[in-house]
Amino acid sequence: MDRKPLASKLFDDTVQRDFAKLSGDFNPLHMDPIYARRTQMGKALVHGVNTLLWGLDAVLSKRPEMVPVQVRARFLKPLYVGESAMIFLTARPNPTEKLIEIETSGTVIAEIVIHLEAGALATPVADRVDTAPSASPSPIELTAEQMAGRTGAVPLASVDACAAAFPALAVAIGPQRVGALLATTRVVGMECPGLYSLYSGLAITLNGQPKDTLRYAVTRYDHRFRAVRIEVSGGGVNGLLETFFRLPPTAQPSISEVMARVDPRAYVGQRALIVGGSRGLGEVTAKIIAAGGGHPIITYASGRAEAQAVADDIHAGGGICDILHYDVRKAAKPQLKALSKPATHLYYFATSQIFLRKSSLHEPRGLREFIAFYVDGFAALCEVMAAAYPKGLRVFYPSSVAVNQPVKGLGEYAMAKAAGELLCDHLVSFLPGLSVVVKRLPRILTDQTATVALAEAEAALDIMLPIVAEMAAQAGVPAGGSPHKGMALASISNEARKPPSTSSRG
Amino acid sequence: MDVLLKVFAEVLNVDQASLNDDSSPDNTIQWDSLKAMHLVVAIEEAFTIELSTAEIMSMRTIGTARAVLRKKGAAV
Repeated sequence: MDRKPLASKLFDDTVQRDFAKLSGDFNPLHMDPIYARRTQMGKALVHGVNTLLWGLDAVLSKRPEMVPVQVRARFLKPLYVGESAMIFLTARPNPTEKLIEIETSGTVIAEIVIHLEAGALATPVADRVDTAPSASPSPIELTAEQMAGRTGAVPLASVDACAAAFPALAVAIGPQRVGALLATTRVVGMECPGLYSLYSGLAITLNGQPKDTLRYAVTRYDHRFRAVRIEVSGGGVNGLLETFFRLPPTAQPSISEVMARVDPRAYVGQRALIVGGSRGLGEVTAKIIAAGGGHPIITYASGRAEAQAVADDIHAGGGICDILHYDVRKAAKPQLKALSKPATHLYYFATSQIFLRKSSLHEPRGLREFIAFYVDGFAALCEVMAAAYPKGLRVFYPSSVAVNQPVKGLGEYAMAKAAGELLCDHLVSFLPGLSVVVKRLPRILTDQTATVALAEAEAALDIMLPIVAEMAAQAGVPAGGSPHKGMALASISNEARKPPSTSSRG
Repeated sequence: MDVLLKVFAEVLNVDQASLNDDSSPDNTIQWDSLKAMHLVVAIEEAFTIELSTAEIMSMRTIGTARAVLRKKGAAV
């Protein structure tokens, strides 16, 4: 039986900005797409509390008798700015509970259970906090050591603004309590955990102390998951917030750290185009080549400042590096006109967001996106560059162990990488002089893979040092560097092949 | 009453009858990495124990979770 949504809403930039002004939560994960790109989420997120309050307000506007005494919410999956969401209301076996599900594109992104009857939640630590409210204009950057035992308070939004934004909810529970619920996202996104925060859920009773600030106190920090539990009390509510202390953007080694591990003449004569060179594997590869006397040209699609920062670091170490805007989804030739000389090497690290929000085991849209990056964009670039450097363009294609070691949630990614491997064989067979090194890389610690969950990851520098050395050695450029020992990779290498005798090549 | 299955059912928000010792992230779509963390916290609170990182990473099914808990003296 098809369910009918109770309401739907588009969460666009205007909605996002208005909510940030109302709540006081201007965390860049919500407000800055360039910043959000460097998190595992990949794009700016709608505030979870925005979907919560919208959900409650929409339900109460249709069913005003469902006045909650307690609200429990889990923010399960990201809702991105620019997306629409729908609300579904479901009865529960317990008649005093109702389930609100917020969905987008068939995926439940938030579960909200409203309790029409409930016992109290104890928040003894937050109840005792007696601190003047903080109204920090930018999110506080905390360390893990600062998290345990942290306390504070934040102001509440004006009751008039709360009543205007969520009228049905304000009538049901009072505008001050709406302000208190809003204030929870200010606590999480601006105060604690602050800059590197992820709000995952809450359990709030709506009959707490009617103070005019929301006090908070960290009562548990689980270092295994970087999970932070926070008691809150004030504004007529009290309860618990479940949050995570995200890893900051992954910092790759500096040029001076890389130089300590590379022979300074190892890559002299090499001009390497490094697609996706502004961070992660591309950044590390650029530094290795520059440290070895080579000339990397790193490309960026949107992170110009980051690409320039990598180039500046290399220049500070005495190396050469240029930057180039390049979008793999657009035609290759016009974008490469800015290159003064053809490149001798190509490292292709272009990628879309790897970990997708999924509603089923296989997502055709996700596969098409990966194919665009890992197959179509790669093929187009190789054809142009191989024609420009017929002496023998040397290419590195990073595949993944996910191709032969299935990982839940990465089926589409693995399929596209497998297609990329086959493409490499095809290109080598029919593009004169082209040779490709393909490696199935293990999970490597980059922005894309930095997660609060338990996961092992390799360091990018350790992975790329022997690969860059192999790329140089097989091209006739003297090999050098300090290959990392004891590393086991499944590798598939395609060497340059003689053209078939039946085809004519120039 | 199977307390362990009850914990899993509540955290994953599924019917307890749909779970068994072979249930894992591979065959239970609700069991993703975020829920996995909530499961660890819920199990620790339900059985008043603390799990090491190695123990957590070994708990790939409900059955292996049960084995870990038994080894720690929990009545499962």
